[in-house]
This record gives sequence, structure tokens and C-alpha cells, in this order.
Amino acid sequence: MIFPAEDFYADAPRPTPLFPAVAAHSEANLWTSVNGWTAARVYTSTAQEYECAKSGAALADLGPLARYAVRGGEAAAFLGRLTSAPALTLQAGESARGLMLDDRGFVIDLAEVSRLSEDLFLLTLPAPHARHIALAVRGLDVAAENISGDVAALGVFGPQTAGVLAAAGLKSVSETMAASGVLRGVETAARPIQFGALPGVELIFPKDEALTIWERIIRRGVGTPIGLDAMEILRLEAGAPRPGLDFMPAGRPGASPRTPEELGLAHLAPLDRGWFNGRRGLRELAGKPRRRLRALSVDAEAASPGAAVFCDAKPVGRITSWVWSPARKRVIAFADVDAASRGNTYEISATPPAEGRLAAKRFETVESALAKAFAGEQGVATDFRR
Amino acid sequence: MNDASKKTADKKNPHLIEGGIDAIVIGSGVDGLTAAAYLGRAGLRTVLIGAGPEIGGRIAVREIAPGVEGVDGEHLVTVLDPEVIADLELYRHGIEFAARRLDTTYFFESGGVLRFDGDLTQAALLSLDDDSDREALEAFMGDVLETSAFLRPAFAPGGYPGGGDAHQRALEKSLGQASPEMAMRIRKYLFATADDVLRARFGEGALRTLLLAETSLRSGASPFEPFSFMSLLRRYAGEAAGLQGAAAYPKGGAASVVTALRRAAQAAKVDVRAATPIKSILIEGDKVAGVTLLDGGQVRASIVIAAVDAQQAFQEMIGPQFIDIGLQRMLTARRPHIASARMQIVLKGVAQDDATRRNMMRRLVYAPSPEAIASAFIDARAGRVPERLIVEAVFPTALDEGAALDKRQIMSVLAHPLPFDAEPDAERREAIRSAILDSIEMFAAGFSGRIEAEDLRLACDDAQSVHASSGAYASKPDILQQWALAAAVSGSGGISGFYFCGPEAQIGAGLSCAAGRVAARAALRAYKKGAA
Amino acid sequence: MNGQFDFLVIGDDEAALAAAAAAAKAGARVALLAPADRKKRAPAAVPSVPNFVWRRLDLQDYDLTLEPVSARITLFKDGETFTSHASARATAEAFAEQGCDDHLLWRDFQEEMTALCMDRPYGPKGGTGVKAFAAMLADPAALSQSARLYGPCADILDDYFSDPRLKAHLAAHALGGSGRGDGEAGSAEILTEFLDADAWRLRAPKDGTVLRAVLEQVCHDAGVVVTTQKPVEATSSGKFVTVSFGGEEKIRVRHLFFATPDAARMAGVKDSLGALGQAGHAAFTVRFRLASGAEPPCGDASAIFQIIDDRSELQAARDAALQGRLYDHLPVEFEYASNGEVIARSAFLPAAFFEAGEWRGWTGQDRQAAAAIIKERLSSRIPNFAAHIRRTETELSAPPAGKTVFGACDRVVVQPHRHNAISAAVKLIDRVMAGDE
Repeated sequence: MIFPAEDFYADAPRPTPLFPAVAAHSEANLWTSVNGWTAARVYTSTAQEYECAKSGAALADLGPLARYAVRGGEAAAFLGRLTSAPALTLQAGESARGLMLDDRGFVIDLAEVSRLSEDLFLLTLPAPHARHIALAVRGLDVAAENISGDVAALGVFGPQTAGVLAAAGLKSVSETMAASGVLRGVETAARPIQFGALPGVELIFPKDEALTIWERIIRRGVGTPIGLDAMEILRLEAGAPRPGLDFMPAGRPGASPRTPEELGLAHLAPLDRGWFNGRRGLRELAGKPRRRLRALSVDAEAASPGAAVFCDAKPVGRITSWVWSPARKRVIAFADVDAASRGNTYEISATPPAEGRLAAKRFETVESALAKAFAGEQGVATDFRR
Repeated sequence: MNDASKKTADKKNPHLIEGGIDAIVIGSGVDGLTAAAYLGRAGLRTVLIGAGPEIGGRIAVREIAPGVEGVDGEHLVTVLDPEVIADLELYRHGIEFAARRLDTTYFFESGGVLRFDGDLTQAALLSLDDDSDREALEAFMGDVLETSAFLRPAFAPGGYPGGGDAHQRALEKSLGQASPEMAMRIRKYLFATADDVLRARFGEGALRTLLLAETSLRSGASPFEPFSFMSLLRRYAGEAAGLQGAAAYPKGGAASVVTALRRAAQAAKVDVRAATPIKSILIEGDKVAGVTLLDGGQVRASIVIAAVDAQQAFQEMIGPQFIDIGLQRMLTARRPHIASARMQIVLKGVAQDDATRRNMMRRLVYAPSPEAIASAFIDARAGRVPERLIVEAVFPTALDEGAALDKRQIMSVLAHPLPFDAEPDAERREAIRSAILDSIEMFAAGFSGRIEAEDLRLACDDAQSVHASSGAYASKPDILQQWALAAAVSGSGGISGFYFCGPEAQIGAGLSCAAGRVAARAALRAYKKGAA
Repeated sequence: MNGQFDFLVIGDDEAALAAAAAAAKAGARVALLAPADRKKRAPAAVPSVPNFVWRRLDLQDYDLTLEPVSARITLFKDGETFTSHASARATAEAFAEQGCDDHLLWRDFQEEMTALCMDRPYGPKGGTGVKAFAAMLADPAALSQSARLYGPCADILDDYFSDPRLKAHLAAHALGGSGRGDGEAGSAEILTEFLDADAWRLRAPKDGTVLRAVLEQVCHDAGVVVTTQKPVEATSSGKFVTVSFGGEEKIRVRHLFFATPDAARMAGVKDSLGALGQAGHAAFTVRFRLASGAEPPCGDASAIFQIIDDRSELQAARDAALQGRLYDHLPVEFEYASNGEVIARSAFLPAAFFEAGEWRGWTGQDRQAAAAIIKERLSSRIPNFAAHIRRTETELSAPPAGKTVFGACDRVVVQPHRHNAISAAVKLIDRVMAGDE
């Protein structure tokens, strides 16, 4: 699940329901604010947390994300209108990813929809967007309730997710089906999440029970808490853009908005499936991207956000986010470049005080592979139910 | 003939799906008839579907008293689009003007009277004492008529998807030839209040009162608010019977315009069906596929033009699942506060003196004092019936020989501003009725003694008779809001093959038909592109 | 006083002083016309001084501390209150505590209002020429922006929120200073500007230096010529306006500058193209010297309070003012000055009274009536208020009747009503100096 950019200038953040639980495990004590909630940047060390996620199981406090419980007769129609996820065809237990677009076809945010039961959907967004949702609800028989403050959300992901859950006695939680019910006396909802290629589950339970479930899981000592910095590495390896950092949500004053194609997420908003808000605008903009978000791997030990990117010695864009990837032993970064620049090799200006340029190459991520497959099979709707 | 057999066919088979039709026009008002006629003339197989029992929408002939017929809707023609008249050959189909270039007599609260020549370019104000006033008036009318004519493209309905850039270029081209002086004037007229503009020109005299009344007649914006002066420019940008800014009375009232349009539609081989309510507009993919009828049948076509109000077209027929969130916000944003009312009064007897007889051949306007107009708008917006109203009156029986009655006269009155009610109760109607009669009494003393019958018609009554949303015919807000809504409904509807030409697509009040023409032309452009 | 000046700044409120000093520091020749009888009074909260003004005027060289007002509180009937704060988070929390369901929308609302305020495609002052007009007409998004920005703020509030107290609170605080009703065109613009962080007012601590004194010093140091002479006549000719004082004293100025609409109103000048809507209201201020021991409502003496019964009162008061009569349930804004005085102000008073078919100006009786209404409003919200009053002083800011010295001049620049008055005035004078106006 994608976290939005941190609020750099916000007031002191509120503690998430899981904060008392996870705070105890934070050795580095490095916290930041996301959507006004506390989020840990590092618990022990970024490299360690990353390793754990890749080989074991990581536990993330997903409290800062915005969650809506959607109920009502036209809930599916509402979600189908609001996001490009195939909500109308979801069966109970299925989840789908999509994008939230504005009327002109620009991306407001990423969205994940899960159908927990016949009449209950769960919508998860990186940022609340309360106004957009309030407008989208008009005229339909649906109620979308913001439950972010009332629930604790724990994400468990990594190859050993199933093991961790089984060890905690939560065997009935499946990695592929979304469900809600009473689990060991606690009302829980669970839905599958995906971090790049890593499978995972998000558990949601009432905030009063936050500590109970946490204790149950952490007691076995199998999972480790993971902070934002380590998740950033996973995100960049997976190739998922981060709202607020790699692109500005449409509607923010002063920033140029992006279409799905420009973010490399065209496969999340197919034009031929069902109607969603912004599809008409998108039809006109499709095929004419002005910029592109490309994943680059840079021959260096560090880069800086905002560093200029060159192609054939001409400046074509800037780096929007970067991270040191232990797996690749290089810096990987997202660059917002001009759509006209083709080719796989770029150059990045080095971090001052060093001078000169660093070589960079495009590399394939999970998202870009999906996008390529989608573009290759034009007209064939790629299904993202999990 | 055709209608009857089709109807029986439908009744036998309620799930009949009709095909082979190129275009459907929803709504049998003047805009619908215009659009259908244009499409038919271009060779498309067109069907016009109206929900009401009669063709013509809110303009209908009705019995207002035993044996006396009156026309609902409009009682004068001031902005009828000359292109529509020419393209559809409406003169050939029977439009005839019983009176053109109507002079207007203004009555003031103080008892004074001024008469304005019907030809505004003459700017002849008769019985005006002061010469300096006359000069000021001439200069003012010259400026205003020039600016109105210049701004015609801005007042025309326009803007369709795929015409976005072209529309901007066309607007820039036609508006770009403004001298800096004209640009300054436009900016001033747009953002200033009508009262400021008029007071700067005419001080506190009778001309200011006269023009304040003229500006605020039928407008939902008080003349003491910004953007209100543009209502006057809009009114004067129109043409009636070839004369800019004039008023004309067609033979048989506005209903004859409907008849002429209907004949034009029939000559264009349009299949006109009344009394066929529509349930929804079918949308498949992002394209319109036809309409479903309330009785279960379907009519399929690749072009649908909606000439009904926006609330009905977008929220009910298309449905919120298919319209953009931004458009829905625009549609639900504003509630109407102000409306006009029509009253048709049957008067006993004939005019005794020459002066009255001459006045009955003119358009009469009662202009209350500026303070009274301000109070009237304040009251109307707050939901109270004002004390003094602006009243516009014409006498169809005097203007039109064919409508003359034996020893009786009909007076058709438009009163403004009144609070808008979706469902007024009897008390409210009574209050409105007496306010209108009081205001008429101010300039026609002794008039109430001659009333034989009267018929009050509010905006919600018009809407109800054509199955429209209750607020469809309320007064329109200031020009900026109108522009925004018109651009939204005709631009970002965005469903391929769907065009909108209901009341919201038109700027300003009055019988215009331009919206129907623009929608039909856009549909034809797309049709030709698709067929090519 | 003789000579030629670039600006004659009329009025001596903080915004005028700041603008005069800023222009003088930038090299213009500035004269300031202050009213002769400026009584020494405890200062009310002043508009915010943004960073760029601080730097321009080198205010760090003077001994000045200012604290922001702590909260905006609206006092409804029956002791109900509603509070908001400067930080979006604190406000959203306050709303949630007060049981307002719309607290989740608060952040989005602020962002959208800021966006609305920022892009102005074609406005009374922005975007010259008909090309901008045509561009606006052809772009549905720009039209919708303009329609919302120049429309009534009631529409925006009703569209966003459902809680009537929140809507009344926002409308009252936003429009209170301007005297506009919430159903009037142009009120949305004031609402969007009001939500800016810079719109929070500042106050000097109890014994600290007053901003006005500091600004007067800055003006003096920057070379602004301050005069309190009463001008006798002003005639404009070409690029200059000649202002004559008594005797042989004459000055020629390029521009007459009014930093706030209050100053313009007092001089009888209407801003013709600047703001939307007419002037046509008067502002009345009453200062109550209280005996000690009076408790401020909500226990917060550094907040700004509004008294309003219902949101519809704003428009009703405005309508009454336009029709030329006094409204009984005036929306009143009040605050506690640092010396314990209560400064109460209402801008919903008529500019002139319409009685028996004629317009007449303010009389002493009208002033008494207005003061009585304001006192009654305060008593209805502060228990035992009337008993604590020791002294009352009133001040009326109304357009003068008849001809005024500056009434017929052109080359007049008036800053329309803004909550961040100092920032707006300085920016405006900069624009005039750069020749953009």
C-alpha cells in the first residue's frame, strides 16, 4: 500500500491507534507525520527491516492511510464511478486496484477497493479526499464513512506472511480473499495487499483491540516492524509512484496534474471496461502523454531529489524520489521526464559538491511490466482481482 | 396519422425496440422543434419525443376564461434567433408579426410617463424635457447597442466537446477585434452593478429608474449587484423582426412561433410524437444508444438531443452514475430564488379615449423607484412577496386583429421579481395576485373595476405542465453563473452523441431557439465526421 | 506643505502606514494625510504583518512583538459557541469536539479556497484585454472558477458543509468586517481570502509597543511627509491631482491611495473598478471601558468574537443597511483590548437612512440607537455586561453626505476589503509603482 508524501510542515501528528504498540519497538525513535498521523521512519535500521521484508515478514502500521466503509444499495455503482477499479463486478471477498480521476482524466490518487461482504466495501486511499468523495456520493443511495480514526490497521507482508499469521493463531485469514468477521473474539477485517511482488495482508480491527492483536502477532517473534524508509525501497523496486512526491494529485493548486499513462499506470484505468469518472476526459488525453515517470537505476551511492536528468545531453526532467537499493547495490529513482525522450540511458547531475554526471539506466519494475503487458495486449482488459 | 398507428403498435408490444432512426430529440418545446427541424432538413431520420400532451412545451394555448384563449409562456418576442428564422424558413411556415417595433411607455411611481421609441437606434425619448438628458441617452444607447452587438458571440450558446479549441478561437477572433476602449467598457459593464453604471450616466433622474427596471425585468440578479448590467446588454443583443433590441408581437402570440416550427419540422419529415414520457437515456460504452420509454419500449439512435431542463436530462434520464462529478456539482449547486409570474386578465369594455387606445398598442412597463426595486429583490430573495413589482403589459387583442374579442380586452402581464416556490400554497398565490394587481393599479387607475376574469401562472405551473423539474423556468442568476452553467451542460456532458439544448443552455430569458440550432449543428458535424 | 509627490496616502490605519513606508523605502515620494484628531486609544487587533513586509520595512530594528489572535469564536444564542483556530489540524479537532460532522472536509475546503483565490483568469483587475475575456468564456473550468469566486459565499458554504453552525461561523467571521451579506455576489471572494493563514490578526502584548507607533516611526525614518492639515480642494488634470490646503499650500500628487475601503468611505470615494458591489454601508465601533472582574466568554480573552443568532441575519442586516434602516439583531464583532476594554464593531449599518421617501445622513440619535443595539447584543451574550460598563465611546465611519474633497477625483487607488489588509495594501502600492494599475 502506498503512503502519500509526508506532511513536512504540519503540526504535531496524532498518534495512530497502533502507536503505543509499535512505539515500544522503535530503537531509532525517528517519527514523521503522514496525513496528520504518526508514522515511523525507522525502527531499528533500514537495511535490517528491508531484509526482513524480503525474506521474512514485516509488520507495518498502516493507520495513516484513509479508509472508507462503503455501504448502501448503490455502493458498487458509487465505487465504480469514483475509481477505475472494476467495483461493479467484484464478488464478496475480491479486491481490486484502481485510480481516482478527476473530470478531465487526471489522477487524483490511487485507490484500492475490497468487497468484504454483499453489502460492505472497503475503500483505501493514500489521502482522505473527503470533498471529492462527498461530491461523488451525491445522487446515489450510498454512505461512505471515514473509519480511519476508529480502526487500527496492521499490515503483514513478506514471503512468510502466512507463517506469521498461522503462528499467531489467525490461520483463517487468507492472503488472497478479503473478509470480515470475528476473529478470536475481535471483529476484524482483512484484505490482501501487495507490495511490489511481496504478498501481504492488512488486518483492520477496532482501535480498542489494537494492542491485543499486536501482542498476539509479535509474541511469536516472527515478524518485525518496518518503517517508511524501508517501505520506500520496496516501493521503488516495485515501481509504484507516490502521491505528493512523484506526482501531485490533480486539484492541488499550482502543480501540473498527470494522466495515468504519464505515471505508467495506464493498466489501472482501462478505457474499455466500465465507466468511471474521468473516462471521457481520459479518452481525449490517452495516447498523448506529455511526460513520463520512469524508474532509473543510477550508478552512484546517493542522489538528490530534484536532480536534473539528461538524455543525449539535453535536460529532460528531474528526479522525484530515490533510494539506495541493497538488492541492486545502486541507487534507484523515479524521474519525471519529457515524454519525447526515448531510450534507456540517461544521465543525472551529481549531488553537489560533487560535479559531473552519473550514468543511469531504465529498469523494469513490477508496475512497468504490467503496463507493458497491458499496452501490448490492447483491447484485452487485464483483470486485477486477487 | 403516423403517430396514431405507431402508438397502437407500441401498446400492443410494450417491449418494442425501434431502430432505423438516426436522431432522437427529447422535448417538444421550441428548442426541441428547432433542433429536430435542422436534423430533418439535413436528411437524418429524426424522431421528436415529448412528454406533454401537446407539442410546444411551455408555450401553449389555454382557456383562461370561458370562451377566451390565452397563450402561456412568452407574450412577446425579443430575442428570436434570426438565423433560425432564415434557415428554417419560418416566414414561409407561417410566422407573421402583428406588431413590430413596439414602442414602450414607462410609468413611474411619481406619476410621470415617458415613451421610448421601439427602434432603439433612434433613442428617441418622447416627452422628455431636458435636452441634456436626450444627449446623454443617445450616447448611452449608442454605446450599449454597439457593445451588445459586439458581445453577441458571447451570449450565444456554444462550446461542445471537440469544439473546445475551435470555440475558443472563434470567440477570440470575433471578440479580439475590440478597441482598447471597447475592452475597457466591457470590463466595466461586466463587473460593475447596473445601478453604478446608470447612476454614473444619468444621475438620479427618471432615465436611471427606467433603465433599472428594464435591466432587472426577468433577471434573477438584483440591479444593485455586480454583473447585473449584462442582462440589459443581453436583452439588447437580440433581435425581433430584424430590429436590434426591439420587441415584436407575432400574430397569434408566441404559439404561432411554435406552429411555424412544427410545420418546419413536419416539412423536414420529422416524426413528432407527443404524450410519450421517457424513462432514461441509454448509454452503451461512452456512446448514447437511444432512449427507453416509460411504457417499456426502446428507441435506438446514435444521436440524442435533450431539450428538457438539465436536472431532468442529467440527473434523471442519464443518471448520476454516468455524469462527471464536477458537472453534477454544478447542477446541484444553486437553488433558484426568484421567478417571474404571468397573469392574463380579461377586461370588460373598450378603451374610451385616444390616449388609452394608443397605449394599448404599445408595450407598457411600470418602473418602481430604485429603492422599491432594491426592496423588491431583497424581499423576493428572502421568500417574501414584494410590495411593488416591475410590470410589463401588452394587449394581444389590440395588437392582433385576429385575436380581437367582442367588447372585451385581454391584458397579458409579466410581473417581476417574485419569490420562487416549488409548491406555492393558496395563500402565496393570493399574495402574488394582489401584489400584481396593486402594481397595475399604480398606472391604470380604476382598472380593477373592469376585471372580468384573471389567470395567474407561476414558474412552477409552467414546469409542471411539461413534466419538467420545478425550478426549470425560474429566473436565471447573474451572467457569470449563467455562463458557467451553460458551458458545463453543453460542454462536459461529454457522452458521445448526446447534445443538450434545454433552458440552461440559453443565456438570458426569452424565446430564442438558438440553443436548438447550435445543438443540431454540433450533432450534424459529428454525424458527418462519423459517416465519413 | 508644498511640492510634488508620487502618492498621497489618506488615512492613518496600519495598512496605510505600512503602504506609505513601503513605497517610501522603495524610493517614491510619499505624503500621508492623517486625521487631525487621533485620540490615544487601546489598539484593536491589527491585520497580520507578513514576512515580506517585515523585511521591507526592517521591522526587526524596532522593538516589536506581536502575538496572533488565539481563536475565532462565534457566540450563538443560549450560550452555544463555535470555535476555530489558525492551524487546520487544531480547527478540525475543535470541530470534531463540537460535534460538527464536517470536520473531515475542513482541510479540503481550505485547499480548495486557496486554489480558488490563486487562479483568477479574468477579474476586475486581472487579465487585461478582451483576449483574456474570450479565453475565460471558452474554458468551462475557468468559467466555473470565476462563477464561484465572484458569486455568493452562501452557495459555496451550502455546497460544502451541512452543519448550520459551522456555516454561520465562517460566514460571520469572513464577512463581518466587510459588511456584505452572504447571498451577495462578491462575498465568496472575501470568504476565500479569509481562509488564508495570513488573515489571522495580531495583537501586541499588554505593555508592548503598539504596531501603529512602530509604523509611524518607520514612516518618519523612511521620509514620509505626514500632515494633519485638512485639504480644501482637489482637482485632477492629466497625470496629476492638485490638492490644496488652506492658504497657499498646494501639492501635486500622481496617485491618491486609500489603503482600506474604510478610509475611502470616510473620504467619500467609491472604488469603481476595484471591488465588486457597492459601498453603501457604514461601520460603527463602540469601546466599553469595563470594571475589572468581567469574564470573557469561553474564558479566552485573546480571541475574536462574533455575535450572531442565525446565518440569515447577515443578509438580513445587509438588506436593512441597503434599504437605509437599522437592523435590530446586528451581527457584532468584538474583542478584548490589552487593557481590558471591549472593542465592539459592526459593519452592517446603513450609509444613510431612508425615511419618508428621502435619504438623510446620520444624526446623533442614530448613533445612540446604534450604540444601544450593540450594547444590547453584547449583554445578551456576556452575563452582567451592562453592569460592568464604566464608560462608552463611539466612533462612526460613514460616507459623508454631499460633496467631498476627493469624491470627484480620478487617479484614485483603493484597496478593496481584505482580511490581510497590510499585505494587500503593500502589494497594491507596489503594483501601482510598477505601473500595473
